Amino acid sequence: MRWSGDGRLRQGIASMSSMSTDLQIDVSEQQGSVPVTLLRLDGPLDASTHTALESKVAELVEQGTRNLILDLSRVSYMGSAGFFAIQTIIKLLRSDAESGHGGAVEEVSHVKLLAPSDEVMKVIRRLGVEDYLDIRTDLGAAVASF
Amino acid sequence: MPNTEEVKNILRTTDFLGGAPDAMLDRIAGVLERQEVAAGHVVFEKGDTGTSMYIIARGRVRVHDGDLVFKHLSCGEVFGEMAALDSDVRTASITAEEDTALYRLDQRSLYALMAKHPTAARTVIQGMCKKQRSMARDVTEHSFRVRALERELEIGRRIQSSFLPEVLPQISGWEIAAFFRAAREVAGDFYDAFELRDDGHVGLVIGDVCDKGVGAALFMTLFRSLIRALSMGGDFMHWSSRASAAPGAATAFCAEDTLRRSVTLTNNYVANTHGSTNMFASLFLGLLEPRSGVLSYINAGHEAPVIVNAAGVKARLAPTGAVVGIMADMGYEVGQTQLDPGDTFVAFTDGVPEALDAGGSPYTEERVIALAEASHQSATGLLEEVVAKLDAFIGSASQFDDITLLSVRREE
Repeated sequence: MRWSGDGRLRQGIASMSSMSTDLQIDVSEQQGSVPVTLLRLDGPLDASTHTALESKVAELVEQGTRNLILDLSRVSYMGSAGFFAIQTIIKLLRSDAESGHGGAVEEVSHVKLLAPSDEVMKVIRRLGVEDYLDIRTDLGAAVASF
Repeated sequence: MPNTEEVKNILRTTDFLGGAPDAMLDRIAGVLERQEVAAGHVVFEKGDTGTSMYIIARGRVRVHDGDLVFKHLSCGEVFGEMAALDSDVRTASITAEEDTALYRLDQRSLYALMAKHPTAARTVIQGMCKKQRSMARDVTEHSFRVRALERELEIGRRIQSSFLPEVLPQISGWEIAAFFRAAREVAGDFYDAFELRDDGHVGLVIGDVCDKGVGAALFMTLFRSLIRALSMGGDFMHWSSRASAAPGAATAFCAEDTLRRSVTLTNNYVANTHGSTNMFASLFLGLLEPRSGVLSYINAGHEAPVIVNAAGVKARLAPTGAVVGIMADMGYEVGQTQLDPGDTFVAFTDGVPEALDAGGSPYTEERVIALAEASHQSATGLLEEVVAKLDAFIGSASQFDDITLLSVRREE
């Protein structure tokens, strides 16, 4: 939660809802060889906003989303809670896909991170999780990679 | 114009207007406007100025503030009556959960009815009284529940504080200080400092479990215990025979092996046993050899601690591996540095550089480092200085994240 610090009172109830609306999530559909959902995030991805992102993705998964691109180019700030959300999303969309050869099971990445901002990259590097994530720089290539 | 009998039947089922005489229900039914709203439609948002109240004829709505749902209302229930009377802002948002039919009573019609018919005014006042009474009951019940939860949290806080060291090691020629302040009752941050008595190394730990609150607190106790138990493994093994064992009699101690073993086993344990929770921690584990001042460490995705002295910043101890708990079998490198007389080591969690002032600006790492440089003469003094400056910076804003600092100084 990012405290805006305005401390406004509404009907005697301290308003905190405004603080969780800092992150804008724009959803659109892309078509590659499979349907891909693109989420453009705009704003801070931190302890105040990560649950909004997780809920949004859970809702999309319920509606059938299986492949996801998170556009992080406009994420102004990411805390470790932001990475927690990304990890939760990766696990939510993880499935063991049959490779088709001898029944061997291969794990397929269903979440790609698109063009993380410098701010986000700094955090990803500090947390040491760069190799763990599927990071793409180009939308077309990201869609085609599924 | 809605079917009057059908409307009256619905009005009769409401707490708010159910007691009104038939003639009054006729009049009210005559000024209602029927609205059909689709599932997902927002009837109004918290903060909107309101001039209408609504009666649900069919369907279901939720009363909420963002993600927080207060309650659900269905056929025969009334909402929005307060703002309809005083034109103030809505105290909550209303969203249809299914296709819903509403009867809207606007303020002008309501006031006109009340002005013309004292019975209407009485009906509305009685309806408001009923609502008020029901709200008072809810508030009382809610207060009891809150108090019970607060008691539980207080117990949690007390128990959690026992997972932080009660006293810090007293090592001749060294000063060790720590500061910890949770943002909420329970925290995800932790620190530790302990002596490995068999060989004289001092374990130094600072960590930050992702997220905050109870979930983070549960994992904090796990991470802290695993790291301490695995680092002190030798000590625990020799616990019973320590009295008779001569110092150094145990197998030769290797700081590098101990660090790797502690962090790798903790990582694998959490990833394999609790993987489904997605919890992880950044942590710095150092083993200091007080005689030589050699500090061997693993920095698992944590903010780089800094070593300062009279000449300024001597070193930053950058990450040597990933945060702990995400995936088993991550590799961890061991770093090594040297604390010379006059050197001060400072580690902190992200709650320090990321503390926000009233305007929403972060404190920044640069400020933390600059303060450390300026106050390097004492570990305790340094922490006091950082905390004082940080508190002045935060000012009237709320502390949002846990704040933890650990400092170690080698005396000159």
